[in-house]
Order: sequence, then C-alpha cells, then structure tokens
Amino acid sequence: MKAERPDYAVDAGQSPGTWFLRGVMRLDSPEAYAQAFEPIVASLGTAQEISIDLSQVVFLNSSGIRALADVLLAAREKRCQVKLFGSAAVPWQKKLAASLTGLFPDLVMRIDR
Amino acid sequence: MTANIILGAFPEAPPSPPLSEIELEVVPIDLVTQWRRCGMIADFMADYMVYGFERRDTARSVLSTVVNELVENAVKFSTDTQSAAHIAIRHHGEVVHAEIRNDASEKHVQSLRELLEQLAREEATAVFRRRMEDRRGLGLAMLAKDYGATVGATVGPAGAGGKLEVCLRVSLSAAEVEQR
Repeated sequence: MKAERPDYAVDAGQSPGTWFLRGVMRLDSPEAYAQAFEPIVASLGTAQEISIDLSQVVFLNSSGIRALADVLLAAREKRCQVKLFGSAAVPWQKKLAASLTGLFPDLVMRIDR
Repeated sequence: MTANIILGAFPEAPPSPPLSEIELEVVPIDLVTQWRRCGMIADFMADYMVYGFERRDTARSVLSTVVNELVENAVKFSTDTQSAAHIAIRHHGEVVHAEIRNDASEKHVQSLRELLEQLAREEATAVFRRRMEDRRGLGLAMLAKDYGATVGATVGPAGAGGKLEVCLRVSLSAAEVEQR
C-alpha cells in the first residue's frame, strides 16, 4: 500500500540552525510531534542560536503548541537562543506569540505582515 | 426524567433560530483510523460557514481551529468509537456556537468538570499556563485564552454501560471569528 504524504514539512534552511515549517500540522500525539521536531531538537546542541520560521504553517493544533514549547524548554536547557518567525495574516500565529512569550520571556518571536 | 448536569459556563443558545448552521454526524473510529479526517471535517465545516462573514479567510482559519480542537478532543475521549458523534457550528449573528456531542466516560467527565469550572471562574491565561506546566491537554484552555471563547458542557444521564452523553459547546463573538 502506498504511504500517504504528510501534510507538513520540517526543512533545514541553507544557513545552519535555520528551520522552515510548512503545511498543516495537526498531528495526533506528542510522540508524532517529537518525531517531526527531532531534527530541530538535535540541532540545539550544535548551535548557540536557531530560528524556526512558522509563517507557512496553515494550522498548528494544541498538541503542536505543546510540542513547540517542549522545543523551547530543550533550548533553554542547552542555553540556545530561539527566534520564531510568524505571519500576522495567520490568526493562530499572532495568538501563539502572546502564549509563548508569556511563558518564555527570553523568546524572540517576530510576526511580519 | 433526570435533568442534564451543566459543567462550567455552558453557553445557552439564543431564543431565535440561527442565521446559518451546519451539523455533521461522524463515527469516531473513522477518525481514529485516519486522523487527518479530523482536520478535513474542521476545514469543510469552516468553509461552509464562511459565507456569513466579511473576512472569510480569517473566519475560515478561526472556525477550523476551534472545530478541529473539539473534534480531536471527542475522538480521543469517546468511550465507544463506533457510537456517533455530532458536530455543529451555528451562526447566531453576534455570537457563533461550535459544539460536539459524543459519549464519554465518567473519568473524562470528571476531568472536563475540573477544567470547565476553572475556566468559568479564573482568567483563561492562568488556566492555560497551569495546564502547560502540568502537561495536561491545552485545547479548550487555548480556545478560551486566544479567542475569548466561553466553554461549557452538559452531561446527560448515564446510558447503557454507564456511557454519558456530553455536549461540549464553545461560544465566541462574531467579531472574534473575524478578528475585528
């Protein structure tokens, strides 16, 4: 049986420590997100700073918000600065900025129009 | 006859009929086996309802986000995955209601009671933050915090096998749906 293509992508950018998330991220479990974000978490140990561009993510469910918070917690433990980029055109991304910066005061999250 | 039990700040439906509505019946086992169907249902119902809003792209995003959380919640906590769940969006003009009815266990109802009572009496931001720290489900607290939603439920009398029908309803302003 042909495997279905995932609705999302987690891609490394050309510069080290840059990540681009795209598509619809409505995964069914924390384990599924842990697998999806594993390359990002692995990169935390090799860089002092990483960036994650979420602007092309159409949807992220609440399990995904928790998974993203877990990435930020792991980054904090490894003293790695994280910059998140989002789009004001996507309603949940503006809301996410408020949620995460409230929990992670060191987080830099930029929302562009 | 035993009356329904109300959990949290259950938003009552306005007395007049909705301006627009859609209701779907699904069997949770279909969504368990193909999880992406949760999102398909949310997107379809949102697409159907956006004609009642001026800022359609925004309304689609918000409605799909809300319905997806309700559907995922019901699929995860339905006691009988072959017993139908009913999902609805109703546009009442100034407010929009999204709801899901499904069978749940007593254990889930207790957990829901705790959360909905917290959301009814505390700031949603505080509830969200605590659940994040305690590693508990964020969906409903997120809807309350991010979209100013009122969230409540009714629980019907126990049926066969102790199953309880839960009607979980989320009310948000039409202005919030359009992010005006």
